[in-house]
Amino acid sequence: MEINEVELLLIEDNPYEAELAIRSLKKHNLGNKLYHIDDGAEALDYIFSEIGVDGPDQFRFNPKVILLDLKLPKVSGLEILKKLKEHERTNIIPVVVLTSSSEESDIMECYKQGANSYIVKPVNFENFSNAMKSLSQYWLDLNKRPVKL
Amino acid sequence: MKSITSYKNRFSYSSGESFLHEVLKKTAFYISVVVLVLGILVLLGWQFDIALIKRPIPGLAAMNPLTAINFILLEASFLCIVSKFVKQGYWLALAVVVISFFFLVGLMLDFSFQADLILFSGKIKADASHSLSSRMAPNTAMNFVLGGVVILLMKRRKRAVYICQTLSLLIVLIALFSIFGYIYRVGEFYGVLVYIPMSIHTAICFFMFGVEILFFHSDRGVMKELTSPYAGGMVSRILIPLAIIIPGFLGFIRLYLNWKYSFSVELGTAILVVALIVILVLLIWFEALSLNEKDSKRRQAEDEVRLANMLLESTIESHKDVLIFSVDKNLRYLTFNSAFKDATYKAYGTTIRKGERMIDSITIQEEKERASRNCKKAMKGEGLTSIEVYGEFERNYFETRYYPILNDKNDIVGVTVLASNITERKKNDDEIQTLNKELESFSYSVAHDLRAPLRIIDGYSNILIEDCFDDLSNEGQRLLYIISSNAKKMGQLIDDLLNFSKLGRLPVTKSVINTAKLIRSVLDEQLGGVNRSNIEINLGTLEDLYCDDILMRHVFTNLISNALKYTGKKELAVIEIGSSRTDKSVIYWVKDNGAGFDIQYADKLFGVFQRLHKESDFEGTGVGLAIVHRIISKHDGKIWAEAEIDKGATFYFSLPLMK
Repeated sequence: MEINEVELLLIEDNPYEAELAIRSLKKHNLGNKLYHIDDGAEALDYIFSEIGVDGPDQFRFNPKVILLDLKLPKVSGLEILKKLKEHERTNIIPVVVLTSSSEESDIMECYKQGANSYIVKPVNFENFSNAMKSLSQYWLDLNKRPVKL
Repeated sequence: MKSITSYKNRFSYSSGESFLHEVLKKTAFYISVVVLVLGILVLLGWQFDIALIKRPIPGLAAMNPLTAINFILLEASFLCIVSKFVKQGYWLALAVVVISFFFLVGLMLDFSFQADLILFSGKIKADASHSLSSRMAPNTAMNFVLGGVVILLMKRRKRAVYICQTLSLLIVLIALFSIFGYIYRVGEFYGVLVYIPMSIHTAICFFMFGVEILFFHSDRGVMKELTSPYAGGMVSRILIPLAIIIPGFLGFIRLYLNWKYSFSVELGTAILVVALIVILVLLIWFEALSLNEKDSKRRQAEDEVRLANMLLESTIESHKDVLIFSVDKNLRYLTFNSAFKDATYKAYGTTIRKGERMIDSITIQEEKERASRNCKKAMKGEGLTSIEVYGEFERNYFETRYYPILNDKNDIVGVTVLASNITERKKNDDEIQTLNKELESFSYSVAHDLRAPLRIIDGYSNILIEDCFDDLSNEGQRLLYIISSNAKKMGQLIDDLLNFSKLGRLPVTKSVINTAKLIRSVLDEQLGGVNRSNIEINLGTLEDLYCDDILMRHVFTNLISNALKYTGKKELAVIEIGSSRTDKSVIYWVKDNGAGFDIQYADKLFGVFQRLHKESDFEGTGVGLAIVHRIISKHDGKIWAEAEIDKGATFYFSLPLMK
């Protein structure tokens, strides 16, 4: 998939978790333009691969939403969030933190760094599946955002 | 011992003393007015020729008009200086000195012009022709010169007070000499004009003037010792008047006996001396008696004070783990215990002594300043407590308390400092904090890392059920459900456990809450979750509580959801919530008619993971009531339960009333 076609970027290191998420989305026909990365450093490389290219039109990465896990190898989810929100070309991309942690300190820190939403993954698969469905429907279909970066 | 003397100055005061001074000062003022009036009267006596006033003892010396004027001037100058007209007072006194001096010089050089003959010169000459003395005596003039000098010196500096009082004494003595001369009928005073003796009222006026000056400065110079509140002052106040009256009186008796019975001089003198000896010895004996009595009382009091001091010191000393010291207003050591001395030596290598400055025993500038600053703060009247680090060689944390020292007039005269070494405690606190942080991060990773595999187990079981359902046998399907439900259950367990530890760590912030409102909102929430119509809820009186509202919500949520759960198999669930108030607490209860439990296991009710029901009968993790118990304990409350199997259970908790 070309980078400019990606609508939903999933950054999740656990392949089984990722599979469950993708499966839930596909079941509801929402995961067609999904791209999955399982490493924090790779995710940064991917997002900022075209940052050197001049001109606003040249930066083609513009997904409708990024689903971000907090615990990632090498570079943590929080650092990715920080870099995304710092950079003028990526700070308008909605970031939804998708994690197992319900720690108050994590929630607070994510919102301080500019997270657009924070979802605690339910242990119960049914609930998890429903959560994935409704959040994707919201961000992919309902939510309106600037088209050009 | 410098510190001890300065101590005395700071703690002693003298209201009785100043009262005596006030009285004497007023007396001095009245005496001066009396003398002034006498002078005016004498002048009037000359004017209207009233012999009694001019010459109280007929045939003897009269008060010269110039003498009268000098008295008026002298007393006027005294009154001027006592009130605010110091300059005018000086001029008047100077006038007295100049007039009297001029007169004396004139008398010695035998001028034709004599100052005392200016006023009423006709009358004075007439007196002289009758060989009556009406002139001013040279000793009178001398006294006026002295008197004028006394007034001029009165407001001078400290040392002048001694000269001033010595001169006043001299005036008193000269006056006394004349007075006794009159009483004893000294021949030279009678009839012999050449001596021009001082008239009797002149002598009395001088006596009064001298006394007046001595009284006025009774708190200074020589007089200070006589008016002091100590034993010496008291003795002298009794003995000095007697020393004047007794010999004077005895002298008169001796002469009287001579006149009446014409005793020989030798016999009279012998009687006089023996009487003097007897009376003086008696007087001295009585004084010795009273002084001894006072002394023994004082010694007794001193012993008591010494004992009290020793007790106090040994009390201070007995605190080996508390450093105690006191400093005066100048931050010098008044007292300290050996714990403090040792600690200072260990901390800074300095040895402290009484009377030394506190900052000299501290070697670090910043700590010097801090200690001084806190002492000065305490000296403004408020005690303070702070935790501070002290020491150069051995650094320690101290919990330091500063208390102002008040004397009996409620003035702050110093600071007492109590310091406890809390380094060990501080270390433990820090360790506990580190451990707490470790625990927190541990539970954090439990939350994060354990939940993910559970979700995956549940998720893949679900996928299996969805995708391969038909390929599985009935037994296979059952096993898959078991896997799935246990994964869910473990997720629930982890969540509850985390909740339990999180709630335990939350600080309790209390306020008065409207419990009725809280309970209604919890009921709405809970009843919305169950799909049952057979529930009857009875609310009794719902007292307000003084508690943390978030935590108390957990308590009610838990108790009510339990009541709903355990009445789930009843045809009609009846839940009753009520409260009652006692003197010290509010008791709440939640009662149901559900499954109940065997009361003999009641002690297991509030333990973590402890359950009294089978999982197949009622689901649960056994954490809910443990959380409730923990919250109630944190509120200093109590929780207990009553129950009977199949008849229901009642959970009670009590919280203390707001103080």
